[in-house]
Amino acid sequence: MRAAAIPIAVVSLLIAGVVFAFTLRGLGPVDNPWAKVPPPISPTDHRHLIQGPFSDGPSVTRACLECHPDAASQLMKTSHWSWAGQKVKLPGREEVIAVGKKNLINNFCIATGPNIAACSACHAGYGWFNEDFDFTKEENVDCLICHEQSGVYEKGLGGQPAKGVDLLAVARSVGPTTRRNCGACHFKGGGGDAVKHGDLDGSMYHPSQRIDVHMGRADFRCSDCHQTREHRIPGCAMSVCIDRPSRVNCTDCHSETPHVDQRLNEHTATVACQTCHIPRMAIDAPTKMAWDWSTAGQDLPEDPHTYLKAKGSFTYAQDVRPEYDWYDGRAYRYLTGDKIDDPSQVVPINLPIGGPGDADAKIWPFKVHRGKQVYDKKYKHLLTPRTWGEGGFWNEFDWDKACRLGETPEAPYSGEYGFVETVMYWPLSHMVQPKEKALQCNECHGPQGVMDFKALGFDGDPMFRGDRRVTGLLRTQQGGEK
Amino acid sequence: MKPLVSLLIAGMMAAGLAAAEDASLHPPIRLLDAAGTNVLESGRPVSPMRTCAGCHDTAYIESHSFHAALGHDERTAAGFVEGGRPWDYSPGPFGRWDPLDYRYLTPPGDERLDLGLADWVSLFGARHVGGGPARLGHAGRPLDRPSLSASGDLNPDAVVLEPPTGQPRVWDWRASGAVEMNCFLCHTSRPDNKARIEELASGRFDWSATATLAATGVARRAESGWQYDRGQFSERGTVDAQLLGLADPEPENCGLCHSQVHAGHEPMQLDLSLASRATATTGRVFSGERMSDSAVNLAGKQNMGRPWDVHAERLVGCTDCHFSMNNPAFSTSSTAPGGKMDFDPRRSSLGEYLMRPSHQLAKGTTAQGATARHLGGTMRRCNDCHRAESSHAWLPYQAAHFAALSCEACHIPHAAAPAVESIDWTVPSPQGEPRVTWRGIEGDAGDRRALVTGFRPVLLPRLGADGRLRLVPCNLITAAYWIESGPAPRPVRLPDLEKAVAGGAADRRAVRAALVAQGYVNPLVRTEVQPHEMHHGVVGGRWATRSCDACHSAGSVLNQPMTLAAALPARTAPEWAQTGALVPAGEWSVVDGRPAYRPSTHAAGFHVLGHDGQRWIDALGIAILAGVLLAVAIHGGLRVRQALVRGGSAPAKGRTVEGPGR
Amino acid sequence: MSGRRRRIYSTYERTWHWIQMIAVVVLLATGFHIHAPVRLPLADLAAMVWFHNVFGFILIGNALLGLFYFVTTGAIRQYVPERKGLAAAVAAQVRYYTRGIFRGHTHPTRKTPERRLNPLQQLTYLALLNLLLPLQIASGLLMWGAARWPHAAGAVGGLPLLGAVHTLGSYLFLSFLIAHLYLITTGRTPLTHLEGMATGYENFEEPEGPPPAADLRR
Repeated sequence: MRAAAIPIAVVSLLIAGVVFAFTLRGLGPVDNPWAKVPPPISPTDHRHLIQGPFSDGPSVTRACLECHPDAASQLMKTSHWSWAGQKVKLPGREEVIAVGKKNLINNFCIATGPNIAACSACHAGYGWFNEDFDFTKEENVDCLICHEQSGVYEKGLGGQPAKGVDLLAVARSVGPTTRRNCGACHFKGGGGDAVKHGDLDGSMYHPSQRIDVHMGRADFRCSDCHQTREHRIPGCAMSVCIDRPSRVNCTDCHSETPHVDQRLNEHTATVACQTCHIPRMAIDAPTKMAWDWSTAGQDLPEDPHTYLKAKGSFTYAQDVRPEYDWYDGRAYRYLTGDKIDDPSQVVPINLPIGGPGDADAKIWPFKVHRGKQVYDKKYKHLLTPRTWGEGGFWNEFDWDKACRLGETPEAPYSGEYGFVETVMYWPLSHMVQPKEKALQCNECHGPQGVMDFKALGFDGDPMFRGDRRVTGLLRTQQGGEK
Repeated sequence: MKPLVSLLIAGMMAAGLAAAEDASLHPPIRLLDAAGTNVLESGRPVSPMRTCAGCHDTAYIESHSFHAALGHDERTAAGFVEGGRPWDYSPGPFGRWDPLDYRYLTPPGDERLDLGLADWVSLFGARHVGGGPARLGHAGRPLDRPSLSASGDLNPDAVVLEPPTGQPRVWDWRASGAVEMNCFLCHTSRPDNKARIEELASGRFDWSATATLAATGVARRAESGWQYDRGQFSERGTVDAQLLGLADPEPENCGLCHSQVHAGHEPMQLDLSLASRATATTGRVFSGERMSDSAVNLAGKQNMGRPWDVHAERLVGCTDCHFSMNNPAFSTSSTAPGGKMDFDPRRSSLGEYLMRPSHQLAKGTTAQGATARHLGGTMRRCNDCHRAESSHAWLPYQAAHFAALSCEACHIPHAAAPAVESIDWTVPSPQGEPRVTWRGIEGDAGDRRALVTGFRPVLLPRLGADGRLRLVPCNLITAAYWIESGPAPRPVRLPDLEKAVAGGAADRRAVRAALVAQGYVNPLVRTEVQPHEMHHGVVGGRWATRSCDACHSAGSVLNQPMTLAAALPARTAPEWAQTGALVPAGEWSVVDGRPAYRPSTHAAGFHVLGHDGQRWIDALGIAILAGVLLAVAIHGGLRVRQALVRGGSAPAKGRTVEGPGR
Repeated sequence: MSGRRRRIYSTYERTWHWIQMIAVVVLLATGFHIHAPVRLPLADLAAMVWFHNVFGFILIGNALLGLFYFVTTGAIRQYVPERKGLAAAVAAQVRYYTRGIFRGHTHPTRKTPERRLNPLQQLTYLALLNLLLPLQIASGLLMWGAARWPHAAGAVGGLPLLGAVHTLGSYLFLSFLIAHLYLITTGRTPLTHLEGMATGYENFEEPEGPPPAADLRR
């Protein structure tokens, strides 16, 4: 039978050769973003593992730590606990500082400092009423806010569980973090649904694919992109992250050049994915575009979307185009106590860094929030008024008192206050649209295009000016200049 | 902080400066009347030919523009137009009758006056830029000069048909003025076409150019004529070019006469009418908007993420392909010198061009654009920009496909907007309206709530410049109308038809009787089918036809029939009209009880694998196969029978004695 | 049943035969689908074309290997009919198929490993292997090659003609296949021939008369 081996080998070779020759064309590198998506976690049923009874939040945490001894210490290293980022060297500044919610000013509710007891309702901890809060005490970590699945958990002042919450039932419901856990704080930034971000709101609890391709069509939960290790959750918006920390990037899963059309791929050297794939923000829920504190305190007709006595006047917008600017992942940041040179000019609270000549910068979409807020006329810096609580502006409508109560060593109050226009940039990364809805050529280029190329530093519309080669803005994929 | 803020501010200022830079390079202009006087002084209508003549050779422009001539310069005797009807006397709208317009511009010498020139201008001037015949008439003499004899004969230049009486009436050209070629219609960014058409329709021809500027605020309609707003003029009596928006023609300008064009951020609505001609004939919509973003009630809209036209989406405008023939910045392979050369670098200078820009625009060779035949095929074609060979590397049998298919055949798989299916003039409404049916819409064409389904074009073979037949997508419009038969057939005049209907005629028999009573000799219904080629509404590769089965199957789209009308008026087969380079090969048939046209790739000489098998081969093959099967069956049957019969007696048939063969 | 069990087909011959059979069956099935596509869930035209191409080249390669084998081993002589007495032998064979087979006559040609084919078979295979197969291969190759070398196909009438020839050829192939399958059953028992091609061994009658070598020469 050995003689049979040769003919069979020859024939097999023939067949294999023909099949191989005909399949060769179909082979090539395959871009498979799904490979990076983590498999779903099967949750452990905690119903019978947790006994109780629980008198308060820390007692729940103690129970958690019995089985998850490292959980609290891991979380305590993150900004979800510290509300302060890593120390960084900021461009244009000498000192190395850590910035976070704790010490920053924004142009929404202005500052956490004097209002911390109210703000800490969104803190992953228990009992942050004032500066005496013990950041080293593990039992102060609030596990429930991120892990409970009962849907009945609420936090109140100081981040304490709200009165009447059945802590045992809540604790027994724990599981992997869901959209609802993240959304409870992040969809409501700025004091209400959709107010702050423009790309994060309650429509994303159960989004249709019209809202977001990842969470709608592919049913992602937040942690599918914000892949968490040891309670470190990557991703951070520019309002608090001013350098390039561990970000979540589209290219974590997708190719740098994912388009069939080569001309589109050439765009990715200078245009962020988000720019085309987030053509509009605040799709279903209006977001706050401007907030003028200076009109607050008057007895005008109230409407939560236009005027409130406690907060002043607002404008909201829904399903709007973002604004576009260069951004290299770093940002300029106004820090508490920074001097305002000219109060007649708009004060940028943050600004994306980058320009057309920067190899790392790309054109990004931003929600730009324009504000008008209180500042010290004499010392020329933004003030951190107390809004909430006793003596706070929301109760007494007295700016002088609010500023006095809110003054800090970094930003002292002279007694003379005024209002200054401010602006804040919020880069967009959610509400991503598939190619069927992404921006097309004519939406940026041409007479009707939304992109102001001259303001972005081009000679004119690069589509008609030749191309980026003519303007010296052509870059390679790696970001280096040509 | 400081440098960043100042950078921001500098950026804002730069943006402001940039806006100022965008201003047109065109200097301010003095609006002159026909006598060359500033209209501010005279108050007379603006004469674009005089106004622009200061820098541009307007006489040259008018004489080098088929948009002005509309076939005026290509007239023949009636019936001698290649591929025309017996009463057509030019390949362009001036002299080519079109059932979509119906009215027949009577040529000089005809006995029965239908449309005098002045009526033609009032009615059809809406889709004419002016100049050419609207200034010179059939006779080629300026119409508003006294030289034109106001005689009582049926000179179509001089008389019009008085509507109520149907009697000829002399038109006072000196009062109405003639229509000059209207530069503003195509070269301003906000032309007021509505005001212009209104002036033309009311017979104030000379004011039509002035009315075009209405939206700029330069002129306002006054009790009689128009009044100029001194505030819009400079002290020196000039008007800023930016105020007028003087610029190259944008698609919106072209869209005023040709088809629906949409730009801007408002969702588009469809405006279906015969006036938006290419939209009516082919469903053309020139817009970069995604269909799913439009306000049109499209079937399956949520999945229609493609733009109405990929070129519009990519900001390729009309003049990018239909450019001026002597524009030094443009050339195509078709205007190249040929022979051993690819490119002729010798051009007129920009200055020369700006002074004498040819307004002969590069064009294709469609049947509908039959005018200026010498320019046929000069436009930029697909392969002048696209490298189809490399983008179609995936396509098997590339050469075979490219030899048999136009690019449009796959890249215009579907017309999303409706188009006219049939127009029936045989029994018009009492208002003189034809019965028009549209394809691609479920409901009334005027109803914006009607579901727009669009339609699949029919693919017809077309003879290309290289002598090859290639399939191109088309819409078929069936038109039925009365003609007076005889040695010089003419369509029955609309006023006579209206009279017949007003007299109570409600069906064709009655209309015919009424026409005979009016003196028509043997009026007949003629049914023509116009193939309208589709070259716009192109889709990118993602949306193009690319499945093999679409064509290579029994139900091949290449042979799908297209319905013609709800019913055809006469039992006679329709006639092709205005086929141009198309060479239809197929048959008139009936689909679902409706008359239809079924193209045949087989009859056209194409061989579509999987569809056009040679019938005789199959017949022969099946016959051979059947013979073998039959023989096997009989032979086998006999053997089985034999075996059964001998089963008991012969235990082993192999053991029998030797047969005769040994 | 008596007779001597002798090896009739070598391993390679059998491998060659069965691969050829699979290729022909697949080519016929996919070919007819391409010719007159029916919409079936798995029968995508592009896939059919792919399979047709792949099996076409397998068939070509197999045919060439087979040719090499038959020539080098001399087995090709099996296919060459003897000129002398051919007409009579064919006539005898025809007579047998039309009459003798029903009367239980013995096969006019005695099948031996050295002479496997009767004259009628030899003629059929001569036509099949020298005319029909090359015609199918040539027309098929040209149609396949038309994608890259359209001029070659164009020079011989283009796809319409090639398609027609190829289709007709496939009808003939199918006819042959049916006749072939049927004639397999005309051995000493209906399964004798099939068994031979499957195992390589067949039972042969002990020749009482001349030895096989002489038989071959007759």
